[in-house]
Amino acid sequence: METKFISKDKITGLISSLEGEIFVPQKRENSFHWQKYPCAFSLEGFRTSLPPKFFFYSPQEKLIEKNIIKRAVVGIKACDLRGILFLRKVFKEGDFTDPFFRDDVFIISSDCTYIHENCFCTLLGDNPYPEKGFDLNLSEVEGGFLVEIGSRKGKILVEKKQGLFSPASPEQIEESRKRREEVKNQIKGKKIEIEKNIEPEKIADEIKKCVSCSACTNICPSCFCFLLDEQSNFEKVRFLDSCQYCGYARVAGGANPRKELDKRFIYRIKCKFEYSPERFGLRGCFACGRCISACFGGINFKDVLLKLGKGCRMCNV
Amino acid sequence: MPLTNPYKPIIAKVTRVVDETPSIKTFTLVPEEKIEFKTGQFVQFTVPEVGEAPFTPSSSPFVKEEMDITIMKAGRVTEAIHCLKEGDIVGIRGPLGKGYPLEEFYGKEVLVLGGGVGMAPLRSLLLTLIAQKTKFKRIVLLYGARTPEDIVYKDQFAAWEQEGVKIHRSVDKGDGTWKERVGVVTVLFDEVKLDNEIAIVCGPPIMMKFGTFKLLEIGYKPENIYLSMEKNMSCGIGKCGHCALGPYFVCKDGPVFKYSEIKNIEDIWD
Repeated sequence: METKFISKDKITGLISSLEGEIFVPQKRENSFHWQKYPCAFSLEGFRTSLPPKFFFYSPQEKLIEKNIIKRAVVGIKACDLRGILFLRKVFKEGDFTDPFFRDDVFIISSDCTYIHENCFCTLLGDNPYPEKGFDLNLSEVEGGFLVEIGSRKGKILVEKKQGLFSPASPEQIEESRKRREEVKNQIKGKKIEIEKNIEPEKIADEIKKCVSCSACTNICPSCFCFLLDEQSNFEKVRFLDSCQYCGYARVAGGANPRKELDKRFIYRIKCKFEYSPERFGLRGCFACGRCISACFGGINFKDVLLKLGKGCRMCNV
Repeated sequence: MPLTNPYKPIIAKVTRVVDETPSIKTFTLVPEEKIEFKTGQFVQFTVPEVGEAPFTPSSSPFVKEEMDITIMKAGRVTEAIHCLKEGDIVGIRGPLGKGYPLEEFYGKEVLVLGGGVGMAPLRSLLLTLIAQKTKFKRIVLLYGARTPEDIVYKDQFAAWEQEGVKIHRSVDKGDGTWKERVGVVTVLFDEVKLDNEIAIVCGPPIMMKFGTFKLLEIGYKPENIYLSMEKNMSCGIGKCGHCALGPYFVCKDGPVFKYSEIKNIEDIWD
């Protein structure tokens, strides 16, 4: 599909044309935070501090029919788009569909223009720019952005607002390609290839630091586990849950397959790199590095993965 | 918004409560809408303001107007269920998961190996097998309980025997009146000559483990041993993550698994 160009001064015109509530990243010092538009916003840099997953479902909600208002999210980065595609598989595919996961959110994604110190997407074979899963994608070039159309909804918006866009020149497309390569090269390190049979002793020192607080799972763009609470009138409330809690897998009578901390720690890694590819055809880690930033115990999950060795077929799923 | 809400149960009325043992009761529920299930599939039993717990119906899937669910008091939700009386209103979500693949049993000897309250799903299975008994070479039931008092469906074994089911029973600890075997359920393997074709196991984890090992020892193939796996099933529809068993979610991929599918997964008996 034809790539468009939009100049910087017209970008607010594009965002303002979105319907419903609109969320954008706002830069504060060296991090990015979701804010409701209209407000100052920034499409530069890397992923927001919190993942955008809760624009698609709520971490705590009553599971009953309700009126919803249209929603658009701007500035989602590549890792988080992959997370949303993953969650869509979990909630929307299979014998049962979860009606409370939204697949109507309008998504304008954008390329990473520089990285966070904990980012490591290229070490898992991913790219720091969106490839699918968006309605429109913005790639920064001199004076504005290239606009890639990724869906019918995106195409309709571009046609409706055609005055905002001009055709992209071959020079601009080449500039975007070069910028993408430069950002890719900012991530240094050895490619991560995890062994299928994880040897816990290789990461025993890291496991010791874990306090089972669930920060890593809550902040993960693809962790989806939840708990149901039964209210009156046969209505349920869904809460976030975490496989890192001791009681997570306990059954009536008290049996618990993952009572020990090391089993829960390893389970999370296996869930992401071994089980998710089997369950959903997708790896469950998108290397955003948020779990590293969030960990109370100071565990560097990138180092954990590097220590777990190489030779894993799942990494290329 | 949602056309169908998989988290919303069908309303059901408790119409009968039978005390099976001091800690096990069977509840008969009449749902507002007919619930068609395959034997081996499970449902979520909803108690308002308390919670949900998963159970496999113990009644025949051919009976569509009502459903029996046999429940041992083992935790917060089951304690609330045990307080239910005739006329109380509860919820049922389901059927969920996959049932027993009965067609794979046709023409073969089916061994049903049960322990304690694990007899609940096996009763539904037995009633299903009996209803089409000519399709199977033979139906054998080996059942163990802790004491004679802990045996569920005490008055129903004779009827199954009359239908041609070969039954052997044991208790871990007998009493003055017990005339059958004493010992763990695997002692019953001495009493019957088996063709080692199909085995279906349901019971407490320790019984499932040693029962499976015994079956393998006497020559059953791992792909012919069917196990009912107990995991923490919350949503029941493969979304919430709790019932993970290696790469599987027990709620949607099970609850019945062939031993060959899960034998390489760690901690399956915990």
